[in-house]
Amino acid sequence: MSVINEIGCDALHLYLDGELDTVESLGFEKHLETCAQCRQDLADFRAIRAEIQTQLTRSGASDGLRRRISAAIAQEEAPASAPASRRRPVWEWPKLAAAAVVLVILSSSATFYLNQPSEESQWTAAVLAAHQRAMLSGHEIDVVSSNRHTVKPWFSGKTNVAPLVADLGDTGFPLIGGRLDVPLHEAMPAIIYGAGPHVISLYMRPASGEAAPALKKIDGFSVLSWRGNGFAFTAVSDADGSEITAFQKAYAAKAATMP
Amino acid sequence: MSQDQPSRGERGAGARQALFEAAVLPYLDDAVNLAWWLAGSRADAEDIVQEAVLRAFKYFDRFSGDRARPWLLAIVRNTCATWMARNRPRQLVLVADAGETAEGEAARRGESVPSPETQSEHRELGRAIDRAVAALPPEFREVVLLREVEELSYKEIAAALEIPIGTVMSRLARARKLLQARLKEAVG
Repeated sequence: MSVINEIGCDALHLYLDGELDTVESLGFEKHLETCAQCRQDLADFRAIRAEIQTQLTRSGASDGLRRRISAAIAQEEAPASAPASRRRPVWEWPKLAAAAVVLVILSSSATFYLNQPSEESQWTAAVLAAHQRAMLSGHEIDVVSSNRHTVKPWFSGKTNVAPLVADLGDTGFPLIGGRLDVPLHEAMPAIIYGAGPHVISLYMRPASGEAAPALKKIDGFSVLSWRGNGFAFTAVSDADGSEITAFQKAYAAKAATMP
Repeated sequence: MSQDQPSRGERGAGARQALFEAAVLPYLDDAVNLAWWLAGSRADAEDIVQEAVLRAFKYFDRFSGDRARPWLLAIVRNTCATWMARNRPRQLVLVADAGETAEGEAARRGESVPSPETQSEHRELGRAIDRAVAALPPEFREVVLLREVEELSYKEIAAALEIPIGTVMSRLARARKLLQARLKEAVG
């Protein structure tokens, strides 16, 4: 009856979290008999769990929040029912009239428009924030690989964008891996390159046309945007402007040779 | 019949709202608790949850009807991440300058220097377990909360954080080791 192979210390957390099947659990229990360290850890981690579940201070929703949410949802309903009202176009008119009134009021104050960030700058701000967030959490990379044939397929099924992953060889910008970010609420690939001690996050989204690289300095970060190869690219890094520009040259040169 | 009778479209929309509220609002306390532990302030947590719930409502048609709680909590966590990136960029830059790469580094950082987000209401709390959880680096704190407090499975946590299941396990392992060390310290 020795079908149950012993499972080692690695399985401790899986066991504790109920992620092992019955056979595997039995295997781990066999391991516990001989591993004092795992017995100690298991007891500690169970105690910590109990303490978190019974002692950790909790917060909850205030009545005010519940009211605000219900009101906001009710308000959301108006645009949500718009497609249904297409069957009754006569409904559109009061809404259009209301919209026209709002427009007139808004246009009397041009600053409203001036303050409205363009889609482009929203995107730039979003990818910069995503890059910063990744740096903060120390979670720079989801898939660690210098092989573009590993990095590219990793994204399939996770995002609708098939990224152009270029191996820049010995140009000084090694491919480090990829990360899935969610700028503007949509999962997008970020390809991660090294630049000396710095990290470059390269974001891309499908776009037509060509545009020369434009460099911006935002909050101490270098942000370089350009178009080509069917994408609008944005590279974000704390490397300086000349370095990220050199990276762009190397990347664009390599991309031009790829199908 | 009467002219006050709601149109079909209106009634459909009202039903969608009722369905959403029945599925999601029971978990509002969980949502606020998670956001509070991630963001460190009750006021911010409420703003984040309001934004998250509206986002959930917008995408409610895509919800498979499987389990509303992990679905909502995933949206709360992601709203929280974008919210913090948007509202606390100055703190982000400080840590980015340190240039660390591995999780181990982050863990070390969490032990020696409290991460910016732990400069929060949680530091005022008296219990050792509160302070130990608050002191965890953000990416470890969130797996502990999702696993031990919200009792999500590895698969659900992996989906919420958009990371591989193996990473969920390794982060939990690191987080538990950190808690174990800190709590032993507190007792001893």
